[in-house]
Amino acid sequence: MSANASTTPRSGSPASNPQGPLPAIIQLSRPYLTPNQISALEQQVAHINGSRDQQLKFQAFSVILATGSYLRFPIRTMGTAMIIFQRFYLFNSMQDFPSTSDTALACLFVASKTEDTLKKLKEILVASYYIKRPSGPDISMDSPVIEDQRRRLISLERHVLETISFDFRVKHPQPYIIKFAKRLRYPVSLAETAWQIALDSYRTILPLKSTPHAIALGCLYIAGSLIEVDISDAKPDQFCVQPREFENVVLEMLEFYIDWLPQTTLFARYTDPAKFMSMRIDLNKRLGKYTEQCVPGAHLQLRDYSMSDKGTVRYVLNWERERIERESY
Amino acid sequence: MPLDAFEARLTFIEYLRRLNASIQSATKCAQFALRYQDLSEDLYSCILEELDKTSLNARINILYFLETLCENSIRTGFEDYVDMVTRDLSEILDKVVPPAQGALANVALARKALDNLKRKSIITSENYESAEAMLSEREKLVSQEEFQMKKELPSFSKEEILRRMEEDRERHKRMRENIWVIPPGDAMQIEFENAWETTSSLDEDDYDMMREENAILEQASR
Repeated sequence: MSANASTTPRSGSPASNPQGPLPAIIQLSRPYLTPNQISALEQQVAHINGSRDQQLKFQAFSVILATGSYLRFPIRTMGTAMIIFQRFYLFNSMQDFPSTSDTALACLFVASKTEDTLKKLKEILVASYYIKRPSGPDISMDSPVIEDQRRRLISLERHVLETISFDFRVKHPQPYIIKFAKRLRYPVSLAETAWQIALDSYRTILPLKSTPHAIALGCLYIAGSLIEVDISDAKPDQFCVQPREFENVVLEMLEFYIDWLPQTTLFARYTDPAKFMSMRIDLNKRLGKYTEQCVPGAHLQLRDYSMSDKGTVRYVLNWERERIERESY
Repeated sequence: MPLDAFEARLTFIEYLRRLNASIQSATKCAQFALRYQDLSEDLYSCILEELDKTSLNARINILYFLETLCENSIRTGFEDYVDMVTRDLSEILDKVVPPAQGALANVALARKALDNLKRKSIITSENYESAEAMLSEREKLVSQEEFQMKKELPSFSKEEILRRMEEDRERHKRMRENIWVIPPGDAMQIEFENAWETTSSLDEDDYDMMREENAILEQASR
């Protein structure tokens, strides 16, 4: 398979098939991407420039978190929105979709649906308006400004849904943080710190590369180091996590804290990145020189927006299911 | 448009009688009560009076209206209605689930309404405990033989039954839209504490899910 979407020749022309053209293009959902796939996509996407890009992403996360807080969404809704947002700008360029705050709100809207915490799009838009202009003129859901924005966001939503291949399965680390902490009899304070670190994990690309239970274990490990509780008995394989994956999660979170501490949740408690640097040094000493696994994975390309104009696109969650369904025709 | 107490009472009673399960009817009624807040004592007494007079179905609608009233009161900063409802909570529940025939139909909904009031921090834990205790007592009472619906005695009409079913459906739909809302306060702390209390311990199902997730991850490298 050479691309994210593949063309499968189908028998039956529109004339002979009374139900219309059969799917011409199949797009497979990929809940996880390999590190190589991610860097290949990042190279393909024409960004404005390196660090400005990251700043725009952080601003978008702020929009998601502030709007989500205002609407009293649970953390999983905001987390899903941030994951979807990052996936969006892996497969779509910022030149084609320059308004990152519009995209952020569209992702929040999609997340509110998939996480069963539904809010009307206009409510979300009014909320984000109030956040931007807390003392500004009152606005209501019928205002033309909101109506305009809504129309833009509805069409943006379609792009978001196609980018995620209509795959609404997002799992979160939070339940595992609680379960693992209780199994290992860790103090509540450790779990609470890990919970905060989990929020920061959504600001990284980790949720697209690692399983939620691996991320949870990583958060607990870093939390333990920070508040100085002995976490040496936490063995990754005890929790279905590959040691390599676990190490990768921890190192990537530490890198993130070292580079971007002021933009994180932990900054309220830890203002000095030195703590994270020494953690990284310790870990590298124990592991020797670390290189991230070089599994290539299939070559992926940026989204082709005109795909649905060429023929019916069918979104598939996994190949097994598709094969079984095809065999039953 | 200033109204005198008499007119205000009449109008308010009309609103109360037109209450159904929709949020619009409750909001209209609450907005009226707040617009004429200097007549709050009068208007509030109408509520208690109506609760005595109307059908069991209507009483449930009034109970749910009180939730909307309290929420809107808190939002606009006029807390008197909240104080009055909190003070009379047991009396209100006594009317919604009276020691009378057919009252059992209102118990579950009354309990849910009580839960909502606690969850939204409209009433304190203490208020909740004592109200819940009273409700449980009453439930035991009206579950008995003598309070069940009898064929010979007048009961709910077919219309009333259908309307009640519709209203229950509407309330359930509304509840699903609101049940996830994080109550006021430090959201992260509230969510964490709730998760710490309610998350089940690591079990075989969790291991199955983790293995499944690992399998999905493994497919990425294909």
